[in-house]
Amino acid sequence: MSEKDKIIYDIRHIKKNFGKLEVLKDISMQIRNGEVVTIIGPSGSGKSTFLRCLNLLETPTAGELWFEGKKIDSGTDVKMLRRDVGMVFQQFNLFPMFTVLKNVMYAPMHIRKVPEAEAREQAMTLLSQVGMADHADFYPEQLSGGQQQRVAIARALAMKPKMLLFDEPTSALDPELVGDVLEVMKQVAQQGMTMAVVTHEMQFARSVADRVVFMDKGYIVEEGDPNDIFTHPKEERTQTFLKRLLHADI
Amino acid sequence: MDVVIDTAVKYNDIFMSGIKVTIVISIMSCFFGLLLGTILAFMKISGVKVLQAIATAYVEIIRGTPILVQISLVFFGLPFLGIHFPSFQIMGVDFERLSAGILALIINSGAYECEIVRSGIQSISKGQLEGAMSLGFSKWESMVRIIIPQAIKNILPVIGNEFVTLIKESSQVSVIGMADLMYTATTIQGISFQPFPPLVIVAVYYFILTFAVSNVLRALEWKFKIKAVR
Repeated sequence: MSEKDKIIYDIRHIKKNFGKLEVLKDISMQIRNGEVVTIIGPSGSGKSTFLRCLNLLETPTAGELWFEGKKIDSGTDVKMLRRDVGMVFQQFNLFPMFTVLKNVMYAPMHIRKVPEAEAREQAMTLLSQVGMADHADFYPEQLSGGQQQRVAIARALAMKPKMLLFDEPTSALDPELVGDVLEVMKQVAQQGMTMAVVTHEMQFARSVADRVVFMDKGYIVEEGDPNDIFTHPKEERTQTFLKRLLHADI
Repeated sequence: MDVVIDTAVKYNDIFMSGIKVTIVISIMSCFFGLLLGTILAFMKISGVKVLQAIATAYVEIIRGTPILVQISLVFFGLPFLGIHFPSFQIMGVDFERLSAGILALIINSGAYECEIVRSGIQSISKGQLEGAMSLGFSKWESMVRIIIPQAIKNILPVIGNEFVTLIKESSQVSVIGMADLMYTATTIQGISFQPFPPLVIVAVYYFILTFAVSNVLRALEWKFKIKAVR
């Protein structure tokens, strides 16, 4: 088995309840090294909750998570897992009191104990990768949403994660800013990063993803090659969802 | 008017020692009240039910009873419980009374400062905590490194107001015979056989104190803002 095909994240029958509300009913899925998986589905289908289970911002109520062949249980160091599984949020969540540069340098310096000069150099490289190097000394509030999100991607990459989670990364953006962020995400994908992306951007799902997963009401309804899913979805619920969405596009 | 000025000049030493005591007890109770309030605030947001219940009960009881009652309860209650502070003179005040007075004010302002700190921390969006934790910081590190610095910026001006309030409320410790600014009015009323002028003088001094402190705080806040804590 090549490195590329190795399963990095194995999700087995996880459930998540919030009180009496069952948000995730039975989710199983495998994510391979270097794979880009997009998760689509109507709002309330549980896709964000599912993603947040993968870095344990939510703890699954039942089921098993295996990351890199190791089972995640009460003995797992959640901090270590989160270093390996980074996240990009809908609301960016940059630190407002730090400059762009410091936002990107901060975690490597304080968690990985990277020396300052090295952290700075690495941060500048990442910032130029996402096209934000000339904004290194700005504060987050001085940037547009799209720029903030690109910085947030650089910040997540700075921890050298093995995998990145994107929770609706373009949903809070003005439409004209979406393209730049998607372009950066595409680049990151092409560099071989393993990615799980919850998104409403069907074009991205179609052109960048290796696999599309359609979720509804706490279940995975259908998954497969993007072209198959988008051109001839098997399940009725997927058909209805896509039809509605594609009509909305026009 | 003349009689007021005469009294102020004649008993200046007494007034000044009263001001000193008022400032000291206000600073000490604000500072230790903030410590107590911070501990209570962390209990409230800890998510541990027992701690939350204790902190909530404390805050509700303290905020629901008059400070005058609390001061008397501490002063007369402590010896009753077998707790004695040593009795000696410090700054012209009996240490026993001083510590009882300060303790009562700490107990009182702790409840108010708890609410200030809690709302300051909770005003920072949950996304900040998640952002920090998603990078691999523990919950505690995220609080200390990311949340609290942002919260302090929101909290400081309100703590300043609490300090001004304390300067005024501390006047009530005079009931247990603590020689603060308010108490000097009573003393001088007794010596000078003048009931009115000492009160006017004391009112003026309290106003000068609170007015000065408010303005210094406003200036600091302004400077703080310009210093671009964004």
